[in-house]
Amino acid sequence: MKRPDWQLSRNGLFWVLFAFAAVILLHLDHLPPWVTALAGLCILWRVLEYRGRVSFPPWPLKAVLVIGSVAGLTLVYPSLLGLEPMLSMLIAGFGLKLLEMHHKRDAFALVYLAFFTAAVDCIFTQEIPNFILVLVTFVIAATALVSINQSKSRGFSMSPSYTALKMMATAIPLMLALFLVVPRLGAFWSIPMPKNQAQTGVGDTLSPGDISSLVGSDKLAFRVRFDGDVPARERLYWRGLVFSQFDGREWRQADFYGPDQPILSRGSDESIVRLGEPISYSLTMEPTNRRWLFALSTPTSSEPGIQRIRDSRLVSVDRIEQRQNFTIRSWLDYRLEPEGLHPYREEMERHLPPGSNPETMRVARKWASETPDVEALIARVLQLFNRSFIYTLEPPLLGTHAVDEFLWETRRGFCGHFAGSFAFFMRAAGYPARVVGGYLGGEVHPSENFVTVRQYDAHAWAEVWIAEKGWVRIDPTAAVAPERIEMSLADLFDNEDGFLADSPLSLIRFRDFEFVNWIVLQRDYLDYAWATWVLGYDQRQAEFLKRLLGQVSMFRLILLFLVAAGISLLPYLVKWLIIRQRVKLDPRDAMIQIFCAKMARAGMPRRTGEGIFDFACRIAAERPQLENEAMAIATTYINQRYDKRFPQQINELRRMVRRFNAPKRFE
Amino acid sequence: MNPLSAVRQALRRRYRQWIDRRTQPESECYLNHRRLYILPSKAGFGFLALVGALWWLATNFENNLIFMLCFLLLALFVVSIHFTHGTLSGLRIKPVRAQSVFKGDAAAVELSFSQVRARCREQVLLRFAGGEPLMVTLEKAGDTFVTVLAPTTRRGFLDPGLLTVESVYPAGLLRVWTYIHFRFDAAVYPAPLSDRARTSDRRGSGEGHYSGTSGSEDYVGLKTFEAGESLRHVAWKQYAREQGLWSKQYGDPVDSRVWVDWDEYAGMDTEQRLSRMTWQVCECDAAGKVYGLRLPGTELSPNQGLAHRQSALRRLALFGIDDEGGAADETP
Repeated sequence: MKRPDWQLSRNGLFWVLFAFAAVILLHLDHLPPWVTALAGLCILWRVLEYRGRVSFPPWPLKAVLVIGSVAGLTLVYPSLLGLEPMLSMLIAGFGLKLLEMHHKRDAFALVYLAFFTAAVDCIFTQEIPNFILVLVTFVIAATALVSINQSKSRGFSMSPSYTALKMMATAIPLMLALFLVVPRLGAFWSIPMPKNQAQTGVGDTLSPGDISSLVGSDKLAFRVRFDGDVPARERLYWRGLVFSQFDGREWRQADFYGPDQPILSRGSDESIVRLGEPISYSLTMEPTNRRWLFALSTPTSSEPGIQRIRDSRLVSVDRIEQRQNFTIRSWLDYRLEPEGLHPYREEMERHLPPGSNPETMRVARKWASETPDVEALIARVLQLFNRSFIYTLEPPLLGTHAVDEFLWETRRGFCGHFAGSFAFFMRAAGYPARVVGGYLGGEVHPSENFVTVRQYDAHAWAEVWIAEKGWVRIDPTAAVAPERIEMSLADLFDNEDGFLADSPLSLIRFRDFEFVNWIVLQRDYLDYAWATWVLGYDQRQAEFLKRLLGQVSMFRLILLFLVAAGISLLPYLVKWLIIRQRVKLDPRDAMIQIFCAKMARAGMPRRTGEGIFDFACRIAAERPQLENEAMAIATTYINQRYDKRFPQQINELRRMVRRFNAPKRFE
Repeated sequence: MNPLSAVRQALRRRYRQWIDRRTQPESECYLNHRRLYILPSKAGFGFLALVGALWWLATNFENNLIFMLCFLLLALFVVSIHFTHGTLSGLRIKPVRAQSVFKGDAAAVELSFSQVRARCREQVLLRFAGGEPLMVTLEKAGDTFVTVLAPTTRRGFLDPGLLTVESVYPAGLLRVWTYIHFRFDAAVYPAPLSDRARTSDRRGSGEGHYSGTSGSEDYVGLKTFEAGESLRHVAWKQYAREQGLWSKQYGDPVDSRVWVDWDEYAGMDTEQRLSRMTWQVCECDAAGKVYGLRLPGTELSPNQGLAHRQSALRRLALFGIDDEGGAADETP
């Protein structure tokens, strides 16, 4: 049998349309424009249909739309199996289904689809504001769910959204308990992630101007929480890339699969001497779409997806496409390859393209013969930098022989210039040298042992190989602008034009105000907590549950759920307890109840639905001796209860009922 | 018939029996957790499938936000048990009155739904087994009166069987319902069975002790119309001249006395007899005759009017049924 409520209510229709519109807005960036247009058109059509302006689309038109959408999707996307094509397909299907939504059943399906597609948005971005938008969409969809269960006759109203919000609020404690407890399984099979956006952060090549372009952005690069105190700022050299190959213009990374086998197998450690105690920290990388991690030298990590590289770096096996957490230990005091380099490597670390930067070559050879001690030579070069170079974000452009021009003519540059020309000089003088890219310092949060590193903290420095000491870090920028090492770029270049050029409204520009600074710190911290506690919760689930429950046993887990349910239902329990204080019966009704009870005891109960007057008449007929009293009670009650003209004399009624006495019938 | 449906039917029968055992007749009922049943609706199973899909999505993309959303929906499902239950819980249902009808007709049963506090209870579905379902929305505090049609299948006191009260509001994911068994003082009259053939037979033989259908030739005069008299006898001409409401008197009241007599229908089974007698009562009433009713052990002296008709029909309806409303089990 068809239930009488199979038809969709008007209010339900409105809210389903809202939910759909919200989903489309959420996915505006991920849909081809024509899918958005199609969806918009469907909404419009459905609204016009509702208002009686247009009729339902005839089936040939619907068929054309369906075939057209599928054809369009196959044209736009090379394969329909990815996330984006599937999303587009769902949205297009949603829109077309909207056109023929008349039944409650259809509305349910569409609301479920809205929930699903809204959730898919979290695959694309996991930022807090975005998640809030998804939650808003969820509330709208839940409202649609409630509104389709309302009576058909209702017009548009907000009332279902209150119900939906109330239900959502009640659900939250339980949701948190589930989130904390339910174990996460690994991915069943991999699905291609949405095609990302450009790669960000320090790139895999370094030409002189590269780093200064990063300085324009206050985007987050990564965050680090130290288990102990944060080391001194001048030790926070986050090494990400090692540039060993130079082609006269650009520095590049060496091949990971070279004959010297840079990727270390697990456990082999022979080329590093570690001194002192390690420090441990957890690194939360923002997505870069690249593989390298930024860590303090010399790092190790026991996480499965991480490889160690011979030049003392960590590299993720997969590209970092989402925000990801890594636990790392680093020894800040070390000797890296003190016993010598692999011949292939040594050749590479000394190599210079022939004919490149002749003036520098000449001077370097001359200085090397004048100062045979490598450390003295380094000191001499740094002294040169210190004496006559200027550190600036906006250096003049350089020509073919960039190092020559920089060292002997312009003498104005940024860390990339200094590091690159220093390494070149040292190679020209005959020593293995290379450029290292990464970040320097970061913002240390006073209380939380945690450091936020932004793109403008990007930095480049050099390493020189010295016999028995191994690779030694030399930061020529420190020679030119020692304050760069001690303070962040934000403090250093506060007023220079290039700094934060891409983020004109960044709060960081206004950090001089105490309040703004506070907001920035809080925002950073919130963001960090979000990243570690929500986005990366699966990595700390076991540990956290242990801390929360003391010991993870079935009993305690059940207890946790009971507590959550208790919190959910607390307001309702309180309300119920208040309501339970019984509603006071009208005293006249109470009297009549007593009267009826007396009659029932006498063997003549009042019948269901029998009016009090009818009852009195029946009493008069069946028990004539009670006629007068019963009629008097009935009429007094009726007059007092329903006739406003009679004075309210409850005592009269009470007296009559008290005095009334019905004997059992004797027969 | 496939074996699965046989199993299903057997299960359904067992369920019915269980429900019947659990649901005793009552004169009013208060809905609370003790008597409300709640299970996921079809849409609820769909919703669980959605939760499953989100869980799959979250697991495969190792995305904790989607996990959170997935758990939010799961928790929403769980708390909607509370909310859906609340749609019916705390409701007091009382039968108010029911109309007496002939067997086979639907009886209009008036029920009162009362709640202490104003609470929006939407889309409450009421249905007697085999009857038309009715959707009501209760919003205000106090009593709301609702009339539901109940099919009747046997004569006697009106016993419409189990009333199903159910709702899926607010989320539609769960269905909460209960069965209520109300008995009413109203009677279900036997279904009238035409006895015209016999009647004309009798008239043909010319010895009937009741006169013809209308006795129009014996117009006597007018008397003031009394409530309950047949409208057929209203003197409309006089009424139209604004001379008051009169009813026309026909023939000699003594002559037109008619007995609807059990013994007339010898040789039939009880229900057949009662049905024919019912028809006879209706005919006599329509014709404005003065008629009496004779049943074994009881006699209703001749009279006319609405009240008389009702008491005659009621006697026919309750014939052989004890006063306490016990079912007359000989009925089909």
